[in-house]
Amino acid sequence: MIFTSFEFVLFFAVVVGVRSCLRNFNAEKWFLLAASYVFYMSWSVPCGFLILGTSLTDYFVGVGLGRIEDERKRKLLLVVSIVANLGVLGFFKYTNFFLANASTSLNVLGFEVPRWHFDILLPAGISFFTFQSMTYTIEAYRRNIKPCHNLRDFLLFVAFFPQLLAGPINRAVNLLPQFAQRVRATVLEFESGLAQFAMGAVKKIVISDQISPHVDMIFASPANYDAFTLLQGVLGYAVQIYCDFSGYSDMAIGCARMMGFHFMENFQMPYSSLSITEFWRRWHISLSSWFRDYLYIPLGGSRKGKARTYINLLTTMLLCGLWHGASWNFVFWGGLHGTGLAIHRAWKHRDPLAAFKEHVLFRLAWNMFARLLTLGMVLVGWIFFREHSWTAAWQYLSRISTWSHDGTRFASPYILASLAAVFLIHLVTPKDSNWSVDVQKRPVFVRGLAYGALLLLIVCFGATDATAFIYFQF
Amino acid sequence: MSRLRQLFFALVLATVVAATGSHLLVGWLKIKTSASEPLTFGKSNGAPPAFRAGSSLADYGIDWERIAAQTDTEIKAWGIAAGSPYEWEQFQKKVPEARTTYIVVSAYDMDEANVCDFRAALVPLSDTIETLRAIHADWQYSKRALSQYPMTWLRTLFPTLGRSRGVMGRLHENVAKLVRPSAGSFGTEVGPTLEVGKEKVVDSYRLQKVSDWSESQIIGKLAAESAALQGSRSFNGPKNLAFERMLQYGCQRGPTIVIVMPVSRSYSKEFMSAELVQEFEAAIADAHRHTPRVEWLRLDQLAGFDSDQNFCDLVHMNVLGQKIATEAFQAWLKQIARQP
Repeated sequence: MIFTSFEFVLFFAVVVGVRSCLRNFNAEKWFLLAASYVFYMSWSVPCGFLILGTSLTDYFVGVGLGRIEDERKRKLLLVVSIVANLGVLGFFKYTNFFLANASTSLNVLGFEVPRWHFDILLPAGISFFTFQSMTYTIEAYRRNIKPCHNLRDFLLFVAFFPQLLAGPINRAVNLLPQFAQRVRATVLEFESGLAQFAMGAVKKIVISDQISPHVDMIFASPANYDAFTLLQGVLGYAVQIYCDFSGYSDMAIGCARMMGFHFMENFQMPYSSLSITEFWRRWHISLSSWFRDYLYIPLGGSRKGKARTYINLLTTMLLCGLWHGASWNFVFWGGLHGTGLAIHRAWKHRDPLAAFKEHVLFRLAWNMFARLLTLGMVLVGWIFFREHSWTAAWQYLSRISTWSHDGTRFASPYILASLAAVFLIHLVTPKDSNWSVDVQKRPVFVRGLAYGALLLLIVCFGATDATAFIYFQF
Repeated sequence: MSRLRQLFFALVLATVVAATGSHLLVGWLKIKTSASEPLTFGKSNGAPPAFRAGSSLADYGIDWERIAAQTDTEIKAWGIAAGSPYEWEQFQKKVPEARTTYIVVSAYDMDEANVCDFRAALVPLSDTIETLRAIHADWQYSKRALSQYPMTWLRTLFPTLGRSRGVMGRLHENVAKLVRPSAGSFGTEVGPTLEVGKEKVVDSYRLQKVSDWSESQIIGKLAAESAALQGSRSFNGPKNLAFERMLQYGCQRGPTIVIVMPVSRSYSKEFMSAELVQEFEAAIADAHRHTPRVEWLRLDQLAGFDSDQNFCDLVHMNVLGQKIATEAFQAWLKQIARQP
């Protein structure tokens, strides 16, 4: 059930309608829980039991953490939760990756072993719900949150349908208390949620779904195209993945807000970042802050000297890359971003150009350069992220860097138009603005016209078939 | 005004804006919104007419006026863009007096992944549900088939809904004409939404050759086509069942002729894998076996059609292709007529 499908619209309308009719708060929560499991099981019924299993483990770990005072036992409970979550994640997502690497390594060492592979179904959203569930046990261990003693509320926290498949990865501290008291959306919240949902739908079906066949075609056989086309392909992919994922996040946040729940924002104009550090504060915010709070800072963060800070950054981003997928491409992508973060940190520490930045003109030119440099690095990263193999990614990159004229030149009006639209929006919109909230301050006539424009875009340019979101595969 | 009233007003205004815009755009871009269009070829001479079923490929590929003249029979047909036997079947029974039946199919029309934009407007919901039950359709397929119905209802308000391909293709063409008024018609990605059967004067669209296109143009078309193909590719689904039902119905009434049209080389190369070709041939062979009285003309196997030269887009023949195909059909009809 994809957010942009008729069945989801119907499902959501029924959920909102029935929920508003329920007088009993407990019945309302049972209903939301049942709806969330129906939503998830529409993807795969057996995977519903998996999410139930991991949720139960973390629930009982949480209860234990609330009762036990002995630090050694508490730590042991936390380890149980982490091992259970990462074990499930590792089994479903990384088994074949590790087996393939193990067999390759053994063959290199002279042992003749076959290439091991198991047919393992990757449960949708596994990386998201395991990480979300872990925020609860970690925070309970740190005593930042009171353990939840209501199993239904906890199951709902993990499986709540708007965020279940691709985030945002909500923190237990933020979301669990919202299930403890009855919440209802105000008309203002409902309207802003609807506006955010509509904006997400435009991003997904008007931009991402429309350019994806063109981007796919370029990435399918890069050797057939010249450098211009390949550059267009990677720029198109940058737009596609942004509109796809931020579109999904907007729809998830919008759905939740229409029901009175508040999720954290996940994207804030990432392509207008002035550095790679800023990029990660604006791209997939719920994940980057997860890695910051639960990996980078526990590793020592920036508290243990420069060298250790750089190592911590690199380690965090390598694992962030691996989180995205079981492939060396993703690891390299993470490593590239980790290196970028470390270099930026070292540069910021010294900042040899600090004195020049007092001049307005220099600052403007520098900002432009910094923006392009950041974007350039992000684009290089996307090639490794998108390509199916390491070799293919290098070939893609080398054909662009040598500005190869061999091959066909293909100018896709869809990619170019989408590119122009997305970059124009990044250029003119204040970085931290939230359109769906800001528009509520406008007169009703202006709001009606704005929603009409979004609806017009959807009915005229929306892709016909609802396609899965890119981040569902992670 | 209370916030609730404001929300109501904003939503009504948004719907009015979007509906007006959608209707204006359809009018400006001349996008076909009627599901079917009755066509008649030749003149009635009092004898029972013939019935022809086919998509726009049939109109682009064969000059039916010449066929009607040669056979001295009025031919009744309905123009259904990107139609398939699943939709044509609804019209076959509208001409019960027809004796001869022509059914024009191709690997494009028969592909289950290529869904007619007007299916829900032509096929009653009860028929679709019955078919889904009969073929034990999975949830994905059923969802796809059934979701066309609410879309059709919504199209009363927003006629462009689900027609983005046609909108963008026509928009591209119209904007280019505004910018360069001297430029003739050129390839758009409108594809199956092109009007069929009306033009007596050959337009410049039909004069072009895919073989003259730049590689970039072909890539653009192929990308658009791959986006249009929804779900899994197959030749063994509701379309094939409807095709066999049509053949049986036709055979009960008189001579039934199936013409298998070719598609361009670029289309075949990109979208017709060896397995799919095999599946298509198996479907044809099955139909052959189940209705042995049917006459078959395999224009797709005619020498010369294996190039892009005879096509004005990925699946429609240009005037050159139509001339060759029509002559081949006429010659075949003569040969059939000579047979005892």
